[in-house]
Amino acid sequence: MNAPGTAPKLEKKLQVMLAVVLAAFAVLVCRLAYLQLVQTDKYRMMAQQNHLRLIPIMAPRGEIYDRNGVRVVGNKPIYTVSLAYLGVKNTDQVVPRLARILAGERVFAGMSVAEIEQEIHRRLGEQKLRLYEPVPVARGVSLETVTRIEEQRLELPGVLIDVQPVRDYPFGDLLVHALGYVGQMDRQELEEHKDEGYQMGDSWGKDGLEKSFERYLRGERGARQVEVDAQGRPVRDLGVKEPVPGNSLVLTVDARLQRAAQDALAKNLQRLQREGYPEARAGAAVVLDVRTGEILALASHPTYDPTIFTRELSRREWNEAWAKINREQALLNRALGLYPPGSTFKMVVAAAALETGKITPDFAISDTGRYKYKTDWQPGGHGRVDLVRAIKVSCDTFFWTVGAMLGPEPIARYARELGLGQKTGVELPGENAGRVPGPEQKYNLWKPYLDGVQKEMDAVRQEYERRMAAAAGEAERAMLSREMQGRLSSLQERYEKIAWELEWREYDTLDMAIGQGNNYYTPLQLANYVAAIANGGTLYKPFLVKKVVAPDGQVVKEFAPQEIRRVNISPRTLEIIRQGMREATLPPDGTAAGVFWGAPYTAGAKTGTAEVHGHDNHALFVAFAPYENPEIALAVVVEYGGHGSSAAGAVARDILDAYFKLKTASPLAGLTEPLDGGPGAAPPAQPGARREPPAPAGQQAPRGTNPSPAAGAGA
Amino acid sequence: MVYRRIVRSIDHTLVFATGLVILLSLVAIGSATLEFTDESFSELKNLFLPLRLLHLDYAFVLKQVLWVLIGLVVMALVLYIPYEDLAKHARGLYILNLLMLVAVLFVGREALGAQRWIQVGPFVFQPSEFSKLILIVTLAQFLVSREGRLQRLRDLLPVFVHVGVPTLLVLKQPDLGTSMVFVAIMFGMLFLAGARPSTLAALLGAGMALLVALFVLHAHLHQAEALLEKQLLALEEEKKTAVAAPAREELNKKYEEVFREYQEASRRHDFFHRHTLKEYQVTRLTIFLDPKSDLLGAGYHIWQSLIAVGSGGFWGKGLLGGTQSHLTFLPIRHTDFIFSVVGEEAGFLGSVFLLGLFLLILYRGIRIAASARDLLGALMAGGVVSMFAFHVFVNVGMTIGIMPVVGIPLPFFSYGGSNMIMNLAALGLLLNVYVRRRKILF
Repeated sequence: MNAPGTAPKLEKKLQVMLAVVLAAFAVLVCRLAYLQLVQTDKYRMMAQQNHLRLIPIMAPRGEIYDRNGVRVVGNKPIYTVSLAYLGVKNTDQVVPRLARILAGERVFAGMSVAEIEQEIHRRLGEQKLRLYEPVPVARGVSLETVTRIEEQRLELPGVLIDVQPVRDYPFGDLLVHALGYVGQMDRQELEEHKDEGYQMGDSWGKDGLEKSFERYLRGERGARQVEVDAQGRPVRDLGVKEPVPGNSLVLTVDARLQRAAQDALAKNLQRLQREGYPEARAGAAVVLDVRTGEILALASHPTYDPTIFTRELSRREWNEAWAKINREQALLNRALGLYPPGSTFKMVVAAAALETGKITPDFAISDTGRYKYKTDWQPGGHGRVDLVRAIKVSCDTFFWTVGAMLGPEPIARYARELGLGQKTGVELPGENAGRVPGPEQKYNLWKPYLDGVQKEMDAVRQEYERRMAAAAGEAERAMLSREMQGRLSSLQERYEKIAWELEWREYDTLDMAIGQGNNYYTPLQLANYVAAIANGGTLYKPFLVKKVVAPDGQVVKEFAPQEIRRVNISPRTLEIIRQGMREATLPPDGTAAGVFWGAPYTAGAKTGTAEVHGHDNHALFVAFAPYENPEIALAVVVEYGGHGSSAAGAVARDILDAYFKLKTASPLAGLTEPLDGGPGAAPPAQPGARREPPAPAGQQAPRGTNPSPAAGAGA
Repeated sequence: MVYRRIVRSIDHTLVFATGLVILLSLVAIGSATLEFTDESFSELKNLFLPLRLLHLDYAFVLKQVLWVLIGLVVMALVLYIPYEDLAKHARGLYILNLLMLVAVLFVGREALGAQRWIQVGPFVFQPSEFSKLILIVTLAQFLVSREGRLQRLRDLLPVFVHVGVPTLLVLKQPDLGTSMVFVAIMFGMLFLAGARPSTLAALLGAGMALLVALFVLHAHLHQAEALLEKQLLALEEEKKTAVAAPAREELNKKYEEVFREYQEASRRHDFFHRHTLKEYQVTRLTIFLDPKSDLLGAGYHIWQSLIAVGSGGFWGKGLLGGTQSHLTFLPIRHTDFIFSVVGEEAGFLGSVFLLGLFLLILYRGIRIAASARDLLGALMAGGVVSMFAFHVFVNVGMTIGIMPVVGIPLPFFSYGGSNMIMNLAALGLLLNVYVRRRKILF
């Protein structure tokens, strides 16, 4: 059957076939060698990228303590319910169960179970590509819900409860303005600080100390490494890098005094509104330690509830809260806002007059209540008035007289010498420099208006030149010329008015001398200037943060009192001024005598009433105490409060009373005690830094004597 | 007994190599189907090797063992009937083959976008698998009947018809991979049967050129449409922002013009797909050239397979150590892409060893063809060798990114009943030729 001759031919063909097979296998082996021997590392890395994922763990921010170790900002856990990938079958069972449990939660307020279910499914759908990350379903759920989920753990596979640290404010609105608040980084902030290791979704101090001490407070993010499968389902944990909590701040502020200052503002504003000053809704108070520049209290009213940034609010609640904040401008830290100082400025003029030698301490005028075209606030005047008395009775006539003798330049010089019109350098964002008036300042203020009018005139001229050139005849040209003259002359009138304003006039000096005109300073500057007078001439940089403390208790940074300068004013001059301020607190006719009626301590003070066009006057008050050996200085401003003594003075009195009373009270006196931790959890305060002896047990001041509605909110 | 004589005279090397491949395949399938779902699984890879074997997923392995047992019975059957007797029924077999393939088109079950399976009782089988073996038998007979008359191109035409009819039926399912196997078998057998090698080479070259031309044409049509679509969208945007009336009119006119062009391009593109390959088929056939262009879509399989194989390195990650397979990054691991699992867990060493076994099988197959006592036997053996060689090359090539993903299994290795039974039957056919080889000694 086998044809001879076929076999050898076939044999040859089969050899060809074998060769082809061998060649094909050689190709496969070469390719395998290339992938598995040459490029192994590349593919190993890609395999790892496939199945290893890092899930970030947020670090708790550093806490903030007051000078006595009372925690004013802490962290508390916020519970987030998340859903891990379950596979289709489980999801269909778990989601309805979970929706039923979550039905009562704030975040789902007003939604039916079916709607919540839909919402959960929607969120699951959004995370299709990153299944290894649990999908957050509800943030900030209540502890009851957490408990219910834990009880039904077995029927709720894949439901995770995440604990995330958020800011906790044990005393509600205490010190909110200085503290600031924390929010998620926005795109621009992220863009600017990407190099510092920030990532999308990180927290970021948005205002106050949270902002200026962000780099100390933030801590270091940790991470969990998990192995995932192709669908992104986590298969196992490979380890955790624990987050490092941020450093804590220890403040110079005394929480009790701060509470007292805020309550005093709130209480007196309410009173003033009742007493016919309906616009008295805002104010500020600053208390400094004159020996160091430490800020003991920094209050601004109205305050806001800081938990609106940490709680899970429904859209409606948020809108309402935000509208209220906007209406009241409650985010504004008025302790750093600008106000005309009114008569609280008179000590500057006194210093300038004595230091330049324009007057001697004996210099006196006979006040009839009139100075040229100006009349004193006291009809009929104060009679014979020397410098001490001028401060005591706040005699405008005296300071007009002296101001006119001085001229603007020396007054401005001494204002600056005492730190007015300059940033104090406090560690808060958004500090204002303020404004010291003077000829140059006035010129710069008006010049742009003048230039504006000049430009307008040029434009009119040009326009008519063009139109006249195009005019048909002589008659029309004449008409245009007349029209131009008309328009120009009215502009000319305005120009001349402004040109007149450009010049510094005598009345400018007079206004300046009594703290009106273009004087604008912050309550913090006023307090600091009084502090320099009180302590004998040292201008300290006011500061809020004493220490930065690491989580292990180690002091990272310590801030010592810092002198800006020794003011170039003789001790004698300062003593005379202090004496005037002391007199002001004394009856019968000291302007602040009523304020200090019955005070168990001595003080120096000055009232101020700054005129505000078309409104009630701003009320101001500055003081230091005790007179003999000053410890603290303060400044109070009450917007549209009417009179310095009755409005701002009352606030100051409350604060001073609190200060002296607290010297022997417990570090928590007057504060609503926080439920968690309390001062025990605070880093050990340095013994030397503590000014008050620890209160003996049982001597704690009664709590809640002056409860603020917001104080309980955070606890 | 006939059987004892047969068993004594079978090719022991071939049987041993095949047996070893099947044994290894059972381990590979057991590993490939094991999915890690929690922490406990990750500990398995640290166990002592024999212990690891106990932790495989035996669900598919046991089924595969069943297929092997059935396959052995079928193999014995094929081995028992002298191949000449098989060839005598070539006409009947050919008709049966066509009936089977036609049946698939009408009563077949659909899965994965193709209609390839027929249900018979509790079993679902894939006729195109058996079709390959039947084709080898019928074609061998067909070629023997034309021995010496295959020199001219014209002589080849009946052969093309003989192979072409079942090929087109398979293509209709659509099962591109299997139809390519048909063509490979045909070329291999034609070559052995005495067709002029130059003619075959020319045909092969022309076919390749045609295919390349087709792809180039498609790329052109596809791009033309995409470009015009982009232009159209841009114009639409412009139209929205244009305000001035004359500009709008101008834009409108231009838009109309581009729209007409786009319609034309779209029509041509559709025409192409209607009469040749579908868009997804073109993509599937060409994506291996650049899997990165669509990592989450068409390129995903190849890319993950490359990562699996490449990350295996020289030694491999060890049994159950493969992250790509156990964490399910690899698709269809126990069937078409099982070689990736081998590459990942057994490394270069294991892969080459497995390829070595396949080479041994193919070598024995070729030797059997050489020792056949007649052309019929040689052609049958040669057909089986062509089939196996093509399967191995394309399957492995596809997992390592040098062949398009056409979805043909690795013989004796991929999970699958029809394929395993057919492979064993094909082995039976090889052995059939071998035991009835030329008796040089007598």
